[in-house]
Amino acid sequence: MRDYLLDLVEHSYDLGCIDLIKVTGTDTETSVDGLAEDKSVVLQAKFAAPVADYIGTFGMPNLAKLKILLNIGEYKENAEISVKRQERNGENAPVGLHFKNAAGDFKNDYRFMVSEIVAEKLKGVKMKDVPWDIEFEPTTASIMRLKMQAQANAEETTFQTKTEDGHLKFLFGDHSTHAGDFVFQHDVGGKLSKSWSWPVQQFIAIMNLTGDKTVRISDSGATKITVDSGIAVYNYILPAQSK
Amino acid sequence: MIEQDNLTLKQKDYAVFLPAISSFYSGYIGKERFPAGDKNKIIGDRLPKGLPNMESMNWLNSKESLFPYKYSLYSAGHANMDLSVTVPKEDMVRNREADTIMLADSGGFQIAKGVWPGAWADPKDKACEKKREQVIAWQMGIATHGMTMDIPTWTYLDKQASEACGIKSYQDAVDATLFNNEFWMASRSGDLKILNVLQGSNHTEADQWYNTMKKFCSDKYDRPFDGWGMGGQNMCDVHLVLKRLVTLIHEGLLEKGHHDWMHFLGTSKLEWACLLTDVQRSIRRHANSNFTISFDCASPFLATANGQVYTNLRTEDRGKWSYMMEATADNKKYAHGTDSFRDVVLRDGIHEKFEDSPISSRLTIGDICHYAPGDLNKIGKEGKTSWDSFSYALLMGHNVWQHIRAVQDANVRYDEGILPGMLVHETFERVLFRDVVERIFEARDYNKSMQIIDDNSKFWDSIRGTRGFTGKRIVNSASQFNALFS
Repeated sequence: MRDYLLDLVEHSYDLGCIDLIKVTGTDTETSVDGLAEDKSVVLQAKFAAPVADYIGTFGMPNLAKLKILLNIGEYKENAEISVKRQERNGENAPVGLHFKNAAGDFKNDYRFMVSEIVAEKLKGVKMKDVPWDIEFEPTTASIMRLKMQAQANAEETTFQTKTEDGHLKFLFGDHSTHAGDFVFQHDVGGKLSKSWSWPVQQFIAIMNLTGDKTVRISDSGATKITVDSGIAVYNYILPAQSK
Repeated sequence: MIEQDNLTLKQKDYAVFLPAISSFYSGYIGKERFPAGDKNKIIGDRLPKGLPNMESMNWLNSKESLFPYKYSLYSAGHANMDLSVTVPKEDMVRNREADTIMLADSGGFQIAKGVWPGAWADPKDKACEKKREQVIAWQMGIATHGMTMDIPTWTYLDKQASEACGIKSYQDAVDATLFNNEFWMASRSGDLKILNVLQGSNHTEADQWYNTMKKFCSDKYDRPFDGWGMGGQNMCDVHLVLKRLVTLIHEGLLEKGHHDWMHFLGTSKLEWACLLTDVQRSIRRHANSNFTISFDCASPFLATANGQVYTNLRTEDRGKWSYMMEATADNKKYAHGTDSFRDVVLRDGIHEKFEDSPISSRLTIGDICHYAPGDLNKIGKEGKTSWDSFSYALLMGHNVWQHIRAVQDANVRYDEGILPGMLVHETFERVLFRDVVERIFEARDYNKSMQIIDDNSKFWDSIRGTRGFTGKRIVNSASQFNALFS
């Protein structure tokens, strides 16, 4: 349980822009949805296998608190972390997590958000079909180069993408500012005709996550980054930034 | 003969600030004009010895005011719109001198906030029909200029307001405004000049809105609307403002004699007072010599309601420009005090600086701090404050003068070459806002002008607006999110 939760918290809260997720579980599938408050990132994830404890629909608010609980020393070894359920509207619904250390003398309760409220706060969104013009698996070296440019251009909150000679370039700043650019991925095959902007902080935060990553960019103004942690497959959709 | 600080004369060719009149304030002008109908004879008892009458605080009265100023805005949202009856509190607005300019806001904001409930998305809704009739008749009856009854695109985001006004989506807001505009077009008569309000929460929405509503200013109609109202992102985003103006000129919708007025809603930043003057001057030089920009805010009134007064103006070269507001003297120990208000607030360290207005210079500390310990207020109780209602009115008058003066002085300083930090970039070379604006409009070529605008995108982003997406938030995901997700 703790590993699942840690994976979930890392791949949502640790982005720095998501503090509430919605979990929808059936006996065949467990999915997770999240949305950054500024709509810069849409999270849509599925666990590799259904999680029996998560059957139902509920919200996990205040993920910062959940992260603290998961990292408390008392709960790292032989602790019992269980999903509490209650009868609600004729259904046996998950209502929270109960933490108990090995000795049973240190406890915490983390409460879930009920399905009606989380449905209001995180309205389900459906993405229109867009063609993904570029698809690749970013290298560790490219991610390092991105971080260097981001550091050198710390005043820029966004970077732009374009294809040039078959390579994908990331560009920081413009002719009126300090600027920098570099090839993020060689020989991407596809072509981008529009120079969309993307949020630096969020993009790097996703690149920092544990798991195998695939980046897809659409000329329609969307980037989808898939991160497979082994426990779940997380899809992060970044709408392009514009005025 | 009263000594006047004639602010109308000092207005020169600056973009025009319109004080958004508070009906609380105008009520006191009315109380004096209609003493018989006033059971509460507060004016007679309370008028400071230094003030000849309440008209001295009525800037729309050029003969009796201590600071004549012929421009104002009044909102339908605060007004009694029944013109068949005499309403003392409306009299400052209704019965004013012929050459004053009064812009009547339509109450779209009240719809968006759910204060005017109804099924606004339904053209047949009777309550909305009645409100439309009331507002346009009222505008024609009291104003020189009127805003269309726009429904801001953000209306549906406030669940409670959305329920109250029946606007459930962006498209509902657009459709309801379209209908309201048609109603305004069909109902207009007389001299009222109508401003076509532009809304939109980002560039994409603003462009969509403009393309939908621009026909009302075109020769598609026998008597098209007479100018533009800038709401939503249009009023706080220089990039969008400049793009829109270039487009308007290019599309023949900023024509001399036809579209001479543009109003920016709720704009209080001093830097904007200067930049709008730059834009106005440039457009007068290159596109429409009659063009006038106005902007309004209610800050002088709202500040007083929060117990604050304007104390002085800050306009350091390359600095942030603002009028300073601070909580002022409110102490029962000052009741009946005869020392001047300014002397006391400086002597007792309440303000480090305090610049007198034509009103405050005539006030004693006792004129503001009216209640002494043990005094009962209007509801027969001893309150904590030494202020009575009239104290607020006096300080509102002071604040209005301060705000108009701040706007005009900021423009004077700006013309002298003292620059607000926001309107100059000196990171690599010296780039002045006014120079870039001049290049944009003197180009007289749509593509060239747009290129100059886009080339200076980062400059525009650094000019913060009063609200909406400004600064770094101006580039965001909202527009693409809406395009990609349903």
